Amino acid sequence: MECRSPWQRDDLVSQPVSRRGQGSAANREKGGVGMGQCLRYQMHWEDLEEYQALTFLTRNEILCIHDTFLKLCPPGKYYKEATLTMDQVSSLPALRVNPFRDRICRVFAHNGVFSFEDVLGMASVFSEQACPSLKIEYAFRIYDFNENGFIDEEDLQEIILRLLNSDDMSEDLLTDLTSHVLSESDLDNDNMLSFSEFEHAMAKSPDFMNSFRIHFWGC
Amino acid sequence: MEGSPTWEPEAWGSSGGWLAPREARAAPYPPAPGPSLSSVLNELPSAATLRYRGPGVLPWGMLEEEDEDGGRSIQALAEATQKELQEPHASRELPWPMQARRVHRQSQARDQVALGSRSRVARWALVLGWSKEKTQEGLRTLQPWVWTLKRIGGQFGAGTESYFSLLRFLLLLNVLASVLKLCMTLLPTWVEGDPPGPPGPDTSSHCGSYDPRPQGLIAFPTQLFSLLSGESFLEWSSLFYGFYPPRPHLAVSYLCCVFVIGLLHLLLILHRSVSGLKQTLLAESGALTSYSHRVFSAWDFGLCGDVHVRLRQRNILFDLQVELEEAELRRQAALRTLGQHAKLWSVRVLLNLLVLALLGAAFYGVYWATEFTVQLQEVSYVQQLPLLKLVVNYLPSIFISAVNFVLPPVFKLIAPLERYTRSRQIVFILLRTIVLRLASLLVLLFSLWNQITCGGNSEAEDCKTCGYNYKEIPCWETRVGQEMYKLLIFDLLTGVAISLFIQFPRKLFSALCPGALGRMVGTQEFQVPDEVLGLIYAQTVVWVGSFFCPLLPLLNTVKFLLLFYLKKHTLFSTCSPASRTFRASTANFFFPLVLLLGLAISTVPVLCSIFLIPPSKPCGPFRELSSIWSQIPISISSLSQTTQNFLFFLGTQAFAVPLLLISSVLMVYTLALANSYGRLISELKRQIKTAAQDKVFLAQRAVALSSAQGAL
Repeated sequence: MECRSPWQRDDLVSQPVSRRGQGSAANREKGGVGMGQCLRYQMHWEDLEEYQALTFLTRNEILCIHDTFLKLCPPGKYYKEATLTMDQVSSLPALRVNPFRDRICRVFAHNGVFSFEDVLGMASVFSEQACPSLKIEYAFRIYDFNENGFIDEEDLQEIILRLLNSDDMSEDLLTDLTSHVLSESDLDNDNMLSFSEFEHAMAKSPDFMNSFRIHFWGC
Repeated sequence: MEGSPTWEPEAWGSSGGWLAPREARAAPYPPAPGPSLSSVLNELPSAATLRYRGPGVLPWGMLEEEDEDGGRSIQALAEATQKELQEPHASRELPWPMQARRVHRQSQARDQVALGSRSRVARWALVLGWSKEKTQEGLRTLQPWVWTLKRIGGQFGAGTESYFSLLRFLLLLNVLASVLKLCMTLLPTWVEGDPPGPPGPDTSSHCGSYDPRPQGLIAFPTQLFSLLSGESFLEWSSLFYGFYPPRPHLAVSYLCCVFVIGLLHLLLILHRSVSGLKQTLLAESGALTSYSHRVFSAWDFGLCGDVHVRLRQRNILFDLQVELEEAELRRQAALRTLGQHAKLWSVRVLLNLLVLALLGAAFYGVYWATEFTVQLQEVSYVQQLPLLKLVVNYLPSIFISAVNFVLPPVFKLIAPLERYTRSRQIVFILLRTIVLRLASLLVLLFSLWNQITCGGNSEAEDCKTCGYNYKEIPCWETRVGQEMYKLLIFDLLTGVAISLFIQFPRKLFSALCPGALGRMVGTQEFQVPDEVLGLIYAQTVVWVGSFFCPLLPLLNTVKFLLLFYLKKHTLFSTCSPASRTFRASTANFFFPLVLLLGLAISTVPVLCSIFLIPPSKPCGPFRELSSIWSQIPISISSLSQTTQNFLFFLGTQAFAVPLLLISSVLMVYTLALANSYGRLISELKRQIKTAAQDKVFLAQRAVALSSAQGAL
């Protein structure tokens, strides 16, 4: 687990590359020692600083994601041009067991593929330091299965189906829960949750921030 | 859900309800004359911003072939972009793709440069905000074990992670306390020359002599046992109070150190608990939105790798079922007849009396054990066998641990009989366990006080000459320190013993013996509430003992370090993921409160010793004074007159009463403010409902009017 180094400050310094046996190692060794470019990573200092300003991720986290991205993308490509398919991102350990991984990939991908910046954007929303409004916004998009801008009964039923195993569940439980959720949070009685209603409900939930977090993006 | 009585569902078309927008998209039926209800509603500005995804990206729910619709919406989106750019958002808080945020950041930077001569205040505010962010980030990188905690959270859930996070926080508290003790207590002792030895037997003090140092050769087992019980060579060492010489500067710094540590710990705990409290107090009423919370925050997104998905799903199902059950129970409770109510309440009163009786028995047992120890220590054969002497010494600790081991499962058995909802049962069990743990410590201290001050009777025969029982306990502060030291050591030993002799063998047994029995024996879970209460108890012991045993925080730091690695190793080797989710929000709110309670309780014995009980005459830095606190007025009298006047003023009523009045006024004002905010929220909710009804009514009328015109 190369990303585990909370005490290590100079992680852009050259490190033994022999740990990597994959094809992209050769590409990285060609990087050379230019001004501001590191031996191990293809990322420039300025890019790293910019990503730190544009996302909620720390330096270590960005480098960890960069690591993972290079492992998964086809060898020989510059990281800014390479893309990952939704399947590749779904099979990351962070998302592999998540029941909503297909929605997550659909929300954060553009044109069906993930660029490096899309992956960073996704990690930023799920990071610990992200602000609540950002998390709530993306949670709403993830939970809106039919993409009509509202979380309606159909979406709620799909959410509950994904959370529970269909063997353990009965129709009554499903309808019961759906009606309870709607009666609690649906303020204008249209049988759907609009974004503001969702935001109002989640802003008061102390567990939402804790559960809508992904720590580690390595593989 | 039935429609509101002000309009009929049939007026909306065959589908009924608010399915019109989705239906319109899903099944485009031949266009009716004039715009349909759904298209009118879709054109509303609020619907446009709801689906906005960021500039340059197709908005939400927009199909690619709807070009003319797209043209209209993109205009609305561009206006929304303008609106957003005017508000000073940080770029990274915007829910847009990275490229859009980059553009936004660049335009913001350009605007700032263009504005140029901002007011100095704004610039300073900016610099302050930036430096605060940098320091916070710096402090975050200094935290140890960040990776371990994330791994634990990923595998065992947020509840277990919160235990280790609390352990790390307590470690920080103890490190700070040790550093302060070193600087304010140990350094001044050696700065002015080596401290002298204990007073010899020929001194003229009428309160007896005191020389605990061992004479002659001692056997190694005796030395080992003295290490464990804090006697003989350890008793006259910098570990305990008695060693410190009666120098005035040392006395002042010794006393101030305790207050400084107490204040520092209080501030740090409050700082930590504020975020947890803020989240929980924000909710108007937790019962109103619990289903939404449970459904939308059910899955812990942090779980990664190979996690038992089936187990998690069962947990969530269990949680939701419990919630529904509780609703059912509440409904049933409302339907109970008077007779059933009376029966239920009599059962509850009976069970509470039983609990009180058990607690009383436990406390009496602890009290008796402490008294009995003193008697047993005087029996001759106990004196001769060092091992027996050690066991007798540890009798109070053994009793407290046994009581803490036996009674909580009994509470867990009693709780379901009271017919409360599950969450309330958990609260009751926790409360009773907390009372048991903290109060048994208080009972131990009370029985010690009883021995020291002859039951508070300063005219009793033993206590008349010196104000305390000098014959039995010549140096009572060291004695209290020794008891706390023994509690700490015993707690560590039991922790290690439980891990080594119970948890690991159970795991081995389940590995060797497959089948149902092996599975049942081997499935161990990490019981978060019990472990956290153990931590809080250990910390309370240290808070009580650090006045009497200055090196106790240092010992506790080592103990917590060992405990961290031991618990982590035990967790990963033997425990399976929890079958009941323990909500992290409860942990963040409840446990800092209990920690504060422990701190508050620990001030009682310390303040009692400082103000009420006369210090021992043969030992300690306060030996020539009438009370420990009197050192402060003596030191103040050596300062200048104005400082003296100011400090004395702080202690008078003329200062305390206005302070109390102002605090009460502030508190009442804050409560009133919170109340008014709650009412405002309810009012706004009502207004949203009315506005939605208006919107639907107007849209309906618009459609009716335009279709009437089209028909014409």
